[in-house]
Amino acid sequence: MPVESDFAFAADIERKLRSILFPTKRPRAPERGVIGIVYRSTGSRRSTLLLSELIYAEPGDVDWKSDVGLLFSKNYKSRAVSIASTRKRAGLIFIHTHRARLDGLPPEPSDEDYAADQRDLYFLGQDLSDGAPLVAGIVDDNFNWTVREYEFTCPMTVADARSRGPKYRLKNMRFCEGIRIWSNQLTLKDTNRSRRDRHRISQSTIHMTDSSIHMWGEEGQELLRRIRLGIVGLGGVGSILAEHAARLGVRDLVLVDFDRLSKDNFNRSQGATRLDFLLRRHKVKVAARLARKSAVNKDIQIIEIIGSVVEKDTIRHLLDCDLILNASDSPWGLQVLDQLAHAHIVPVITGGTIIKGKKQTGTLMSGKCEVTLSNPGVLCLECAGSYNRSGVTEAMEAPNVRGPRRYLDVPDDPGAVDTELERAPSVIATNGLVASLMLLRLQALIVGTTTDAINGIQRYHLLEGSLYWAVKTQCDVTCARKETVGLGDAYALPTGIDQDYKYARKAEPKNIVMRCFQFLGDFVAELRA
Amino acid sequence: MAAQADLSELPDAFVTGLNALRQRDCHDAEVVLVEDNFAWILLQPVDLEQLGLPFKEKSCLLFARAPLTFPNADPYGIATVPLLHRVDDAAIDRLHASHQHITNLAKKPGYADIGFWSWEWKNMRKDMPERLGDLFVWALKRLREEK
Repeated sequence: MPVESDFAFAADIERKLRSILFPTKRPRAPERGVIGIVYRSTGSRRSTLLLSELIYAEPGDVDWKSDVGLLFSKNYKSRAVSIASTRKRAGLIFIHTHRARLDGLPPEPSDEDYAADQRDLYFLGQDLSDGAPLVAGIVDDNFNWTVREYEFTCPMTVADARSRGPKYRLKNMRFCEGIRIWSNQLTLKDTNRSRRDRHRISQSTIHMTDSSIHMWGEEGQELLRRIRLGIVGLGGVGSILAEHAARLGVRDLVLVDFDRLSKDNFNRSQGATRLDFLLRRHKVKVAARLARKSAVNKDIQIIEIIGSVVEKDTIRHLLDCDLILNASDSPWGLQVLDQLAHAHIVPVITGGTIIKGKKQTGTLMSGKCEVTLSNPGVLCLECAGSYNRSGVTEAMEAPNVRGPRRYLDVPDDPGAVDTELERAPSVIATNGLVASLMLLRLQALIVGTTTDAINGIQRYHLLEGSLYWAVKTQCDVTCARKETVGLGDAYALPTGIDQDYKYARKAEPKNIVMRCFQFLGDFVAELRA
Repeated sequence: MAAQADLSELPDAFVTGLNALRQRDCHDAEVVLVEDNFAWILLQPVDLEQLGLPFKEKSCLLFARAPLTFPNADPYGIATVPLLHRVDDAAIDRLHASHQHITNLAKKPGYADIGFWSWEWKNMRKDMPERLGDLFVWALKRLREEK
């Protein structure tokens, strides 16, 4: 059951909200309002209410009267209900404005606000699907928010429904603790009910991050400290990202990978020792150890998830994150994360390298590093060409029928096409380059260091030694991603069973004795080598 | 005939596609086997003689293998019971009498004599779940060995 509660929306909604609620040209009533459609995004620790769409008011739909305050017309409310009731798991939010408080704190609901929330939401909620979020929000002139979600008990009989007012049916009211607004940059606002640690960064951290603070100030450093960052794939690129994120001042990390260290991947695993691969330690464990050792925040919190990004159990943990760095190159993983970025409004920065070399002569045939951002309103990873459905289909197959592009070296099935494993070469220097480009993009998004270098595909061509931006910056006209923005749990992500992880689980030694034998065998082989 | 899989366990979009298939060409289409990320769908019996297809067998049961995440991934492969043979005894391109994809399907009662036709359905439109309704037309294309 998630204990944290957030409210989030994307750039497009922010723009619309500002134009409806804070118009610059028209004369403004003391309070303005709008009704929106909300969906829930449920992580393992955090539940986020996503504002997905605004229902535009017609003339006379929103009226302010000095004696009663702001009123939404019956017609407007019924239109909102009829839209939400046709959509799976859609709820409603009533938003209105308050004047900004002199102390700069987020707006406080008045007694009239509470009464109106309960009255409207209780009755309108009857026509929505079970569990649909019923929400009320107040926003002030400084775009500070207070958002609260209501839960009501359901009347058991008609007489029961008529006999008592909605206030007797209130089961629970919960304030959102944080507000995330993703436009070109992240705006992270605390409400005055925040559970998050709101203490300023410690003096010791300030000393350690002094050179960074010169660039983005203590406020920027505070933002970096407050985000929860997911890192998917703790191999060559991901292990560097984990260390650098901790040094950058990120305090809350979620690390995801199912793979273990081995002789094959040791050469590019930052922070790994020979003992780590002899003990076949999980990459997340080694990366977490490295991040803890490198952290400028003493109180760094790391969640280690041994799992696959294409499986539901892992996704829950990624939905707790504010931003995800993806360093895994599975096309299926890219597809899931791309769709997650849009449906749950959690941007994903993805990076990788493709190198083709001639082993015999040691020459580089071709190679490029690529870093792309997937975020509502900008180019999605599918339109960017980061993955295609044919590659996704192949990744869904068992490794022994997958052919040369499979990740694990497993014996071929007799019926399958017989191919030799041709794992793509990987070079630690390009991993460093990709990790740096990804972290620069993260800095741009969080602290706004390079606001012109946020969207699009950035490519480094190894043969030419040139770094440039791809021409394509917008999705294809037929792209379906924009239809899924903010749908949260109502949108089914294309998850399934990761065949590589399934194989890896099967290959695990069954008990401690087997594990010891395996370790001893590897140890002796290492000594001989 | 194999028992149908529990549809409540399948993703909504896949069930929408299956219903589209039933409404369009295959009224009795059913999921006979779910293996990890893919499902085997029994489309319908096909009268090969009536269709003028050059096989020694007069009819067959036609199956298609579709991803559970359709339309986010491509269908891959079809199967026939029994294994088909051309009248001129010529080999059929990428037809396997034994293949990992049909190992479990072949274990179902009555499906031991089975053939797997390897085929990537690259140009099939996959913009909405209802496109799964095109499955039968595409499977026939493979039987006709159209490229």
